[in-house]
Amino acid sequence: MKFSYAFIKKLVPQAPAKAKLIDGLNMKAFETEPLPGDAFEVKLSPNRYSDAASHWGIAREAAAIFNLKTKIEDKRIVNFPEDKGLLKIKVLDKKLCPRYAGRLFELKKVGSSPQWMKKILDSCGLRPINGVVDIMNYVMLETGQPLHAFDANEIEKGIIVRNAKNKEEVTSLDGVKYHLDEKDIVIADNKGPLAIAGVKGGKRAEVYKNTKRIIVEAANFDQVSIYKTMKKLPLVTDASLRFSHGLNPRLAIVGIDRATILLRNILGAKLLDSMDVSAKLPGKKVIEFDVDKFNKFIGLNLDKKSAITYLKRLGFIIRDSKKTNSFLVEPSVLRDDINIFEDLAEEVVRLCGLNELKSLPPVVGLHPAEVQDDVVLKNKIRKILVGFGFSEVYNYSFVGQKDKDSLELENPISQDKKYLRISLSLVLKGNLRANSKDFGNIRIFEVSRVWSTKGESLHLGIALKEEDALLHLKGVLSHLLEGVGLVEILMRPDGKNHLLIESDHDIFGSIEVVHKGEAVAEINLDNLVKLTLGENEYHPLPKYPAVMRDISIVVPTEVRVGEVMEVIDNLSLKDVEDVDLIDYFEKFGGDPKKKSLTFRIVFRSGEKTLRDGEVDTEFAKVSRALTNSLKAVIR
Amino acid sequence: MDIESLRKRALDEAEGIEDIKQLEFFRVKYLGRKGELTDILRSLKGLSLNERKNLGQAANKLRRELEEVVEFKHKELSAEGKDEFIDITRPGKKVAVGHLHPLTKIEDEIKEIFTSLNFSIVEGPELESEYYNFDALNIPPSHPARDMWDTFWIKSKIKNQKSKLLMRTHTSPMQIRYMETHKPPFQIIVPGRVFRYEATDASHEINFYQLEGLMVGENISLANFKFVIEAFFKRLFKEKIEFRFRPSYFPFVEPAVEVDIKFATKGRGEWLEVMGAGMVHPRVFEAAHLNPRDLQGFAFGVGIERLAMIKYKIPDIRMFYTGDLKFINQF
Repeated sequence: MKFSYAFIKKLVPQAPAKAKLIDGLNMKAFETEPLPGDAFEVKLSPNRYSDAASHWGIAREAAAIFNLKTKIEDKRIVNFPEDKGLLKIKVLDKKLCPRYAGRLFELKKVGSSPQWMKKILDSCGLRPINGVVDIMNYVMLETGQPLHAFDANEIEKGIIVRNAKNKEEVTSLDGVKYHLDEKDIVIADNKGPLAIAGVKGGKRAEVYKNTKRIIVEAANFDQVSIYKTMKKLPLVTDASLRFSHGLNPRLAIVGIDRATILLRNILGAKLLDSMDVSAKLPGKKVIEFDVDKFNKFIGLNLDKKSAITYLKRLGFIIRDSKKTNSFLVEPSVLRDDINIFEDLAEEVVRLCGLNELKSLPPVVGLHPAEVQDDVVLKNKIRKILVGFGFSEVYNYSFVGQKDKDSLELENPISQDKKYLRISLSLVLKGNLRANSKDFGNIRIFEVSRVWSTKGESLHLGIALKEEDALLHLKGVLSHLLEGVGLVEILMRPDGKNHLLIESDHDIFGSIEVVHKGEAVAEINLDNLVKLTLGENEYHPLPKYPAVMRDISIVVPTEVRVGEVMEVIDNLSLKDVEDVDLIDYFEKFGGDPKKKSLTFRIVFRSGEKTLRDGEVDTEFAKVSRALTNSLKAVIR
Repeated sequence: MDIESLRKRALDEAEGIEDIKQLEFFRVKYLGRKGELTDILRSLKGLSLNERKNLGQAANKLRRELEEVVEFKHKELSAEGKDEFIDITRPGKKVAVGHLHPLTKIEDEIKEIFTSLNFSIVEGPELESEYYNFDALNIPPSHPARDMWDTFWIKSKIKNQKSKLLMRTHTSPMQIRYMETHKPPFQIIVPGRVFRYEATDASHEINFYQLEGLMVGENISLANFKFVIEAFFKRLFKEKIEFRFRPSYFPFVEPAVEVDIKFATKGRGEWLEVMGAGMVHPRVFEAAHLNPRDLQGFAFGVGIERLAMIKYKIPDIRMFYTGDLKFINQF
């Protein structure tokens, strides 16, 4: 929100130079930045619009910060015509409009506003229009209360505040047509809507240069309703911005009194009648301030006197201050944000200066720090994969591709980020492609959340582009999973170029072979974390030597290694420790239909040194079985 | 004869062999025709079957072992080993090295610092409910305060969902989730990905990482927050840092503060906004079914990309999500 430094200086005559004022506001109230010339920008907290969205509000802040006096002319006017019947106001729903104050004036002329006022409007980004409209805007800048003036002669039988009708139309002052519905509030007369309440005035009953009589409105509208209307239309105005944050209904009278004085003094306007339709005003708040509690909460050592001084600077009333270390505080009426002790604590500590706080080490009982299981697992996986030469990528959580179980965003930022990603593989393949212009072999991985209609899960994706990608990937996976404590794993074919990774019948991942030089794995870490919670356990070192036997076979190309291994496995040979494929080549003897495989079978007994004869008997079963069931030729 | 002591002696002696001559002497001494071990093997004949079996096995094992030692040493000491031409100026073989993403790297460092300060590490869901992301954190519906967090909403329905779903806009929902299931005192950090519906530029992304901190006890004060956070930043940046605390506004803390840092050295003279924080609002304790009367504590949130950009001097936040290895491999 824009403010005029000259105006603040007028309200707080001893205020420091602009730069120092801005610095003070910054450090003790709101984020504030200088703008060129007279203006500066204040980022008001959303809970401070009721008291601070105005020059009076910022002047009060400045005075409290620098311990200065204000010259704010907020005198209430008394003895003025009321309820004479010249002005009629009807509010249909006092929840939507807790207060509507209207005053009827007779004008000598609409005229134009004085130069000093135009300057302030200009600093705050408002365009001067005419005497009446400028005073309305000026009083809003001054007090924070949005005001509106209607041409009274254009209004039929008085003002009605009501819900809009469905598809009711209002043409705004600047000629834009808005379509309303029952959730919006309008200011209307017998003929129809005159303004979108709390948001924007309408074309009808606009004040123009020959207007003779005006009705000035200072109202209070339901915060939620104005917020929704503002978002829906969408139409952010100085008025809707303030009302949507919630204003105190007492502010309406502050604003209209000020407008009455200025209309009389500047335009010579005469107040003919007035009406104030108001729901019950919120009661006064009294909050206890316990100095010991404050010091324990903030970590300061402030005395009672200083605490009272700071709160008094804000215009808060201190009561019942006879107790040794506590007193009662009545915050100023517009401070809707002050409701509990902690709110007062903030006021005191910020005025005292947050930078004055000391750094105090916490004194607490020692409990061992813990790290969540999946965080530990992620960490291990990353370290292992980096050791295997994989680099880690991060990708966006949103993708353009839809899967049948994908979750969809209601408000995507673009078409290629419409869905929540259901797996990491797809994007990783994209990463391989994008990087391949700079790198030959590529090894990458990503650890991230993915989503489906079943909910959220944590995934690991691994992708590589290199010769024999699948074989490297399988090797990496076995060692990775072993590294996180999972030994018994199976990579089971599921279709031509797809494998499932399982352990003890729990499927927790899959491998996709894109082609010989590219493969991708996807692992569900939520499933994995349940499988890897065990500790490593010591197994006795082998006491007896191993005996190895190699067998080379020639088989038709379409015979898979997995089938051969299965045949050997099914033999349940005695004392077999391991079966390894140690050599593999295609086009055996130049024949593209044949390939050669060499397996190494490692025998070891836990009880004795195996004799050659014992091993040979078992080993012989292998060649027999392979010849019989796979038509293998032993080389 | 005790095979074990013979073995020890022989292996000790083997350690000291410095040339081929000594090695030959060693071989003859133990394995030669009249060598000590040969003697033992020869003596087996005169023993009982049982003794012969035990001693024989041990002696034969030692013979194999000593033969291996001799062979190995021979290679080391012979001209063959010494005169082999090795071009020691050739460059080393390329090792395929992997790199952690810079965000992982800095997150690891952050976690290490906080673990050393006795903070536990937890994570929470990124797909969150409106209740945890806003309502429970004292951010009222239909209030402009909510506009501080531009939100991605989920269109699809998922099973058993009560509150409306969204992509969490901050890690703060974990304050509620953690306090619902844990009794104070405790101190935690929550790193994780968060989402904002906003136009991207060099300093804004639609998804980014945040670190939430929460410390709750009977006496945890704002001054304690100052201590913890100053310790954290000093350790993370390993530079002399000035701190500035300013008032701020977040509905789930009261008072709220903004932390700025400035590097005292190297002409990095700008104040940098790095963190929002404050004292946990009593309504947040209440939302987590804790009694605010006996509790006080601080919470903070910091953008991890922002810290990484400052630490590694990365100019554009969007670089983190390109998957470009030319970038990642620098870390």
